[in-house]
Amino acid sequence: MSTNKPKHIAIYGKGGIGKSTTTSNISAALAEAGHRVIQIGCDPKSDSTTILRGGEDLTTVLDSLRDSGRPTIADVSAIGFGGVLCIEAGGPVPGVGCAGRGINAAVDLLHELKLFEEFKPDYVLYDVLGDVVCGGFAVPIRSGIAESAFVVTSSDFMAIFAANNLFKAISKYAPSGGARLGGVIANSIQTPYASALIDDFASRTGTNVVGYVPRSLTVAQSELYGQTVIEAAPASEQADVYRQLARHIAGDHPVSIPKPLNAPALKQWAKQWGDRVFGGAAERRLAEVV
Amino acid sequence: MAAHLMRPRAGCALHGALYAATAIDGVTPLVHATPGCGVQAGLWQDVGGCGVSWPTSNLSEKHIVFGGASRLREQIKNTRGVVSSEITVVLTGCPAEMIGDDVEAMAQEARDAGDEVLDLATAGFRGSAYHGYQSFLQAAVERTVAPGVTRAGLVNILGPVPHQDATWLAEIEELSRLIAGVGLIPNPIFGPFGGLSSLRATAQAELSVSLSPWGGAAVRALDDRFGIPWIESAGLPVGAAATGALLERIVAAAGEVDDAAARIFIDRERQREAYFIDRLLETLYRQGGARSFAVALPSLHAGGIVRFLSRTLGWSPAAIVVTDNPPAEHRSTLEDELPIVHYSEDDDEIAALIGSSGAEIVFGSSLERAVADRLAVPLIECAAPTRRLSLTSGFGGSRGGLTLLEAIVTASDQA
Repeated sequence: MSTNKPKHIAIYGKGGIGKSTTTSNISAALAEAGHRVIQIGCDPKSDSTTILRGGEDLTTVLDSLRDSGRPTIADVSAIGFGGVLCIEAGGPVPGVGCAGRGINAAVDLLHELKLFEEFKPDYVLYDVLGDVVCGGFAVPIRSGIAESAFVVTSSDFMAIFAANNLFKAISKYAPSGGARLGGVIANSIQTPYASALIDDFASRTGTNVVGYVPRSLTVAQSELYGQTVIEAAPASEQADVYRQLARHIAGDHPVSIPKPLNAPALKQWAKQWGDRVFGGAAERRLAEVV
Repeated sequence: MAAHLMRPRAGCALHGALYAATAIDGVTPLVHATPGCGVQAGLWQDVGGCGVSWPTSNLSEKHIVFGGASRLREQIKNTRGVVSSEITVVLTGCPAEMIGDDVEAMAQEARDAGDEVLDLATAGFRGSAYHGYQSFLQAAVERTVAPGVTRAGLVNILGPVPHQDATWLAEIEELSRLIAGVGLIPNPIFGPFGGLSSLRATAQAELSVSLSPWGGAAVRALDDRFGIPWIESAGLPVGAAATGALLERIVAAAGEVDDAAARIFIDRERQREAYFIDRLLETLYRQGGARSFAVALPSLHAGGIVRFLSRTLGWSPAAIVVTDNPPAEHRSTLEDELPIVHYSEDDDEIAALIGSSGAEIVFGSSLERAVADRLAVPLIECAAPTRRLSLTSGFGGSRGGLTLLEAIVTASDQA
């Protein structure tokens, strides 16, 4: 049992970019290394911890609040691979109510239930919908929750756009005690230019890339079995990529306050990369076709 | 760019709509918001208030997260079961509108079941209590009033905002007395002689009179739907001269009136005021004669009081601040023949304008107490917030002018 103060880390990323897969594999790798880990899914879709739990159902914190009023930790958690305590904040049905306030209410309740005092984790990972659509989704990086945040992104522009939005939120909250940025996790790397593009974005926004996760069939296969790569293919190269990421996050990683790009600068930056990757002629050809 | 507003004098749109609905017998407001929204509306009305007892869905965090529509459905049903009224008006506050509750669908369900339920978006971010009154009246006219046969001589009275304008009911009653005096039939909508039948009768009127910019949308809606002509007054007339002028406009616009009888009534109002002013002349002279004054009042009262003090008493305005931020298109009407008019809802700015004016007497709300004390001059409270209870005495009409004189002489004597 750990007696150290737990380290709270938030992992953001655009929906569908692979942040839950990445977070779950990091949790699994930390657990494999002997740490006590809690993973809290802060996404109304409630599928953050699925591959840690073999795809079993889990009552979300908000479902439990709706039904019984005052749940216990046991009601809203499940023990997953390697002893990782899995929790899903949950949310309202789509199109109704306020999911942002829901995240707030769920995190508040976990504190009230003294989750961290009871479970005594070494690491708490918050897996958060990364578009930071409103104040509710910024809760994990506000004062007193997570100390650092990482963002998962691919080289797609919309994923970079979401990362830039997270940087805006971090730079807003960090001066008043909010989380600092631990860095960027480059995911789904499969084209030759992807790493260079993400590196360039990171350097322009005053941060750095802490790991490159290649696009891998091993991940897809493991997910079909409801498992992390650490569990399903522990000897694979992909598993080692996640272990390395986990070691970085577990260590005393450097943090910073990012310098997000403004909207015109981001567009200009994207266009330069378009020219660089596809050649300036591509735009002219496109214009001719249209 | 948004700016901070210090100590605003009006509640939010929900409050204005709530006050208006409460002031019509037969209409039951239902607050679809957190409990505090309704309580705040009640607390604002400290003296001579409207209570805090309204049906409400009492939204809690659970409803904010998961949506409050089903809670509202239940509350509409319970309200209809417990409170006997013809129309239930669902008024939404900020939380319900921010989370996107489908209030219209819940109201439609009740309407489909045969209940008369009106839904109205009155979140605080939509504006002040004045905007809430305006939205409520416009929606009521457009969605609950049906055409009917014109009733000769019926005149709709709109403009004073129930509970938000300090002397709203006294003003409506004085206007009703004056309209009856010239041989027409007042239709007050709010208060003891208003009610749902009066609201529904607005469609049958010959004329609408709007006494403040906030009645403008409703008189236009009455014109658009039922072809009812309207008069927009430059605020409440204060004193017999302004009252006589407005009554003459009403008589001219209202069709068949016994002009001679109306003239006799108007003259008698003037004669009465002249009698009292004659009696007070020496007192007024002894108290300092012509004085410079400052006003910080909403548009219902500002222009009328300034004109009465300037034209009837011969005093000089040192600062005129209109405190309810009336829409731009109504400002030229309000400013009719007035010197420079400032518009501000911000207490610090209002205090600065009054404080630097050098006025010898101030007309405003209780919020002007500090600046009046600093200037060491009397303050006449004629706007909210105030602890002056007004059940029957307003400042509008010919009687209102005399009420103002009473207040001036009494306060100056004590100073």
